Amino acid sequence: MNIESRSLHPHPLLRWDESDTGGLLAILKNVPHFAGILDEEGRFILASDELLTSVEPLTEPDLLGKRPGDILGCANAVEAGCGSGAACEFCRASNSMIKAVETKDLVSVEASIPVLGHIGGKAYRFTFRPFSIAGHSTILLSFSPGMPETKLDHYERVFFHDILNASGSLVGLLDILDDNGIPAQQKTDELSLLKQVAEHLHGELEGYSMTLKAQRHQLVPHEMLLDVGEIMERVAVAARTHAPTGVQLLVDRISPTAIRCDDSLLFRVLFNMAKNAVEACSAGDEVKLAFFSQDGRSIFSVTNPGVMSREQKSMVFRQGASTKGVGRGWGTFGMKLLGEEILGGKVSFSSDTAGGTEFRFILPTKGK
Amino acid sequence: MSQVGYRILVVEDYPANQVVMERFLEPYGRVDLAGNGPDAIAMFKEAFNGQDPYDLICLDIMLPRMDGHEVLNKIRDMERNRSIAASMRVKIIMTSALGDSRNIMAAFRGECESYLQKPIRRERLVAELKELGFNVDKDDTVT
Repeated sequence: MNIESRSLHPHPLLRWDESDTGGLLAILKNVPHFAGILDEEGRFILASDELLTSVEPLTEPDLLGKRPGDILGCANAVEAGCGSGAACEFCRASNSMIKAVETKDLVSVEASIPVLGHIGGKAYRFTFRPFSIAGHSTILLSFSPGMPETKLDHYERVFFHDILNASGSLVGLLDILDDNGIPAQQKTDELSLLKQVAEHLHGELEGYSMTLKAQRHQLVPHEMLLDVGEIMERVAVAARTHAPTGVQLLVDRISPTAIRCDDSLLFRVLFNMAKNAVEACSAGDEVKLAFFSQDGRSIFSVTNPGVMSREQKSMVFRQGASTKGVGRGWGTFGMKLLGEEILGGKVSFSSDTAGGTEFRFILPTKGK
Repeated sequence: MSQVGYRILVVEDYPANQVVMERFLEPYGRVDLAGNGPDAIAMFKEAFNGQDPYDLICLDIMLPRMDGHEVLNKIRDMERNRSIAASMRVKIIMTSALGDSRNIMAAFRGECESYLQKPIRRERLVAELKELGFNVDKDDTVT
């Protein structure tokens, strides 16, 4: 930036001569990290050359006045700009920056930014440090992309929790069956439950394996002719084992229909939808699994009477997020990844007081 | 099943684990099941206000909608608001498939009586009940 343009710079800091800021601005421009200086409203004043050249080809004029979400391609920033969308209220990065300004203290956070074209979003670790330069309150931002260690820890934690829950119940059931004093009918019931849990355990392992392979682009679908009614019944049988007491899962009757798709992957997408739905229910609720054809497309629908909060809606399909709560489940990320990236379909949802919550998986119908 | 006994609430979202805990505990009294945090709070409150409170709660940590730590804190708050002495409050055993120190420490800060890591073995559970002062004789029935 030459002297003439600097004197016209919109931000007073950059109108100053280097000697006024002790060469600080030059140092900040040259740090070998993604870094920048933001004003108190989170808009860029300055960025490191590393950020300008690496995140996206940017020039300084592109950057000035924009917020981090704008330059990272956040989908929530597309319409109204970073920080202005309805979902921004729940953005961990945005809320951490606000907290840093309010507390005048360093705040660090891991956040997944919903970037168009990246299922599950892109994970970053952001650090916001408020400080003063030549009397101006600013925020020093640095961030690093990729999967933070704690996110890997989260996946490991979720994986082991779910597997240990299932395997633990196997141990308990075998303990019970080992008791010679229990009635024969109870033994039969327990054996049936044991079988269910063993299948569930296998399913959990298979599901996680699929999701990890899909993330590494190692999954290739194997298409075959599938009976839609049969696969829906299989999904229902499997999902019912996860339903809380008193929750019903009903399957719409349909006329014999066949589609071409990968059996395991389609089952996994529909099972994730149905399992999420039953787990969100309480006794007395009904989950409905339906199928219909429309305009050359095959549409699977799972509905439950619950309504998501605005915060839950903002987290759907985000990697590591779960409607079940912090640290739970693969959430809806897995169904989106398998359904869209691998099977070429479209996964969407709606949730309101009128219709409850509906997840849809739409596949283009392929000929026999 | 014994005719008299304790009131027990099992808070566990995994259906098979609900069955296991129910089978292990039914010799000692009436076992109720809750599959999530809000249901557990509602059931505790109903029993608490109905003068027939629970004697024992087996509370899983990872639950849908509200985790076990939050459930534990809410229960203890209700008891404190009614000035229930610590010796008279409901006995709570926290359970989890993950035995990490973070969860264990958080559980005890939240004032539970005990923590059991899954898989929960019948013998370990019975030993824990005895440790907490429940009357369980050699035949594993309530006296």
